[in-house]
Amino acid sequence: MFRPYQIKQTVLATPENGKKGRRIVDTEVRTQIQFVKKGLRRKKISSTVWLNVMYLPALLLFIVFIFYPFFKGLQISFTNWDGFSQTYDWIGLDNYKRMLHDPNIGTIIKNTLIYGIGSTLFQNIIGLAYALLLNQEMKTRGITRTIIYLPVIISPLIMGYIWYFFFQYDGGALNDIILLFRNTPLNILADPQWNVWIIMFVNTYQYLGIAMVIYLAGLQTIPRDFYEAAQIDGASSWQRFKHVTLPMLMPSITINIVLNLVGGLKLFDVIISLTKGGPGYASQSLSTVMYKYYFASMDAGYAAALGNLMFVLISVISITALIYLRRKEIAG
Amino acid sequence: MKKSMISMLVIAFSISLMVGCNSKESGTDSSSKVKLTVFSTISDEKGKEAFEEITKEFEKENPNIDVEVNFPGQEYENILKVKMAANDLPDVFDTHGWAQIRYGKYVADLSKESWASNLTDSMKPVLTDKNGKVYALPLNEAKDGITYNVDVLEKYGIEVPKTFDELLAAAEKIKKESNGQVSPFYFSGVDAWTIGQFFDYFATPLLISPEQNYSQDLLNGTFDWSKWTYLPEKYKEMYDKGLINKDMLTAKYSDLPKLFAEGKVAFFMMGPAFVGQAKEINPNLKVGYMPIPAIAEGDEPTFSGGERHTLAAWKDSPHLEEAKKFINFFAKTENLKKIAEATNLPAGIKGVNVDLGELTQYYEKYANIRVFPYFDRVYLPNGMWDVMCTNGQELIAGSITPKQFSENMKKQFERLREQQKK
Repeated sequence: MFRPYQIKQTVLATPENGKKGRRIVDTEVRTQIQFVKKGLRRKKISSTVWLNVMYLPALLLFIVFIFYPFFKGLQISFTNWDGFSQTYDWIGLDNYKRMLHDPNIGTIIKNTLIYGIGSTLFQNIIGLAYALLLNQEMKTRGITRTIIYLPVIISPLIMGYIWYFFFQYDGGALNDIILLFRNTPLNILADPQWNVWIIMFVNTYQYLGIAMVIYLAGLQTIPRDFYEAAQIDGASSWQRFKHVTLPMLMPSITINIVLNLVGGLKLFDVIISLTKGGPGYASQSLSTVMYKYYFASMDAGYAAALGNLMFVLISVISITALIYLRRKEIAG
Repeated sequence: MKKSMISMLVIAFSISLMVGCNSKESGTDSSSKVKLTVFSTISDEKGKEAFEEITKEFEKENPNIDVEVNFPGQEYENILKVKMAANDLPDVFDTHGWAQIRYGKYVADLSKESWASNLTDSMKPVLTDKNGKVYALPLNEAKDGITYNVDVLEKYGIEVPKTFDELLAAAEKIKKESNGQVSPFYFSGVDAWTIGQFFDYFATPLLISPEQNYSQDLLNGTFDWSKWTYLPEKYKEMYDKGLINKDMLTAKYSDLPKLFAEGKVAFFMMGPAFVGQAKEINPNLKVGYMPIPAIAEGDEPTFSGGERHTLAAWKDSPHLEEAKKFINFFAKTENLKKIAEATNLPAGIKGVNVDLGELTQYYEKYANIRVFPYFDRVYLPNGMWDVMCTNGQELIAGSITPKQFSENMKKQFERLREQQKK
């Protein structure tokens, strides 16, 4: 009978793969450090000093470009600043209270989640499918991989415009095809039922290649022997996928899901180029509406509050996903 | 000891790096040339060309001044807002209709300049305050009305409408008789300012220009917003009747010149700035220009006007003198003429005779039509423009009713007024 845990044990034995392997390396390093500790005290001090010195430039950049703007944003969210005046008033939690009564906030959060979770789902399923397909021996493998990866290197804004010309009402490629079969063209970019999904689709299409490449790399680290062992144990191809491929791919899945979640939740360029968030608020996400409030509505305080909401939303979703997947990685 | 020494050294080094960059910059500035940074909202090619030509002549005359001109187009407002927030504005910039309300605290007084007393009657109240401060030099003057395709109107036998009802009747006639081939009006939901323009245009004949008007109510904040509902109702009606391009929610402004040139659009609610581009597509295009039709009975048509392109100097600029020199160079009659002609608009300074080709006849014909300042700049708090644009989109998308439009206007009007009360 085919027993997956046997494979797990083999995994532990190969240091290049998986968590446990890394831990072995860690302990080696630690013993070395301990050795240094005992023997050469002076040398140790200077090495930690140097370590501290090395990260100073990075820390400085972080403070200037991440921490300072973050705290400034937090501060602005408690004011009614219009975005350019030299003065503003403190209004406490009013911006956050306003969020609760904002008639559009429901749509905006829903859209943000569709962009984030929706594209993550599709990017991973399709990306994995392509990776599995292109991991086989076939003649056109190289060129197919290149074609699927190609959209990644196009700027998302340009990608948005390319698809805009495809879906456009007047003279769009899609409508030219539709007009062959019926008399009235479709205006799907204006339809709130559709445009959110189109934006999600374009984002999925664009970053599919990255997911595929990460999965391909993951697949290639799985030793052939496992499949052979499983085959000898009589595992069907589905069983092999479920018990060998998937558990071994867990680290790639984690990276892909977290990267795609963060990317999708803060999607901006594609929305701007396809619909500008319209009509009205129908396809706005938190990031586009924030921009709109900051610049167009001169409502920087509220925009900052929305920015903080987005920060919390992204953090909660991606950290939850990360913890859950890491646990799976260790158990799987 | 050693640890803190090294850390100190690194910090000192990084600080000196930053300071080094700074001092280097200011060093080159003071030693050789004065560098003036200029930002303009001019976005059409002809206007930009004229602006750059004049700048080059200025540099020739003043070899010690180096001028860097920027035309950021659509991004202008955002860039300037960021610069304002940092209190670091360009030496010379465009106030595009906001000379007093938005940029007022940042611009230098130009009342001592020789051209200041020659502002046209309609520009004077826009660029001068009650203390006599002059905020900017007008490079031209906006008299915004409706641009129309003369051939389309002639083809369907339409007289230039004088009232809003006549305008709608004309539109229906065009739609019917062209079998829907011509879209009477054109709007873009993507470039939602075109929608805002409709409400801003017709708010004046509805609320301000008639004898019985609501200007006082609007100014002191007691306006009854149910009176506003007329505009969204009519707008929705126009869309439902098919008088507006069907794809307006996703159409882009950049498609307009082509459609207008091909006679597929009859009226467009904007000044003739896009005409140059349309003429490149169809050189035989005949363009007409009309004021905004009246709504109230017994009222006359109006123009919506004010600043279009201006030059103002930043009051805290380290090169204020040079900035003023630059502005005064533009104020020369021949230069103003050049810019006004390139932008298809009359000049904002008296005594400049502008030849606007076929449009001249219209400006002459309507020379006595009253010019009202842009509705939102005077009667609405800063920030309402976007509210009008977004609600217009939502109205057409069917997510709000005309009544809700007015309610949203009221809500935002009160919120922004409260916020800006200082």
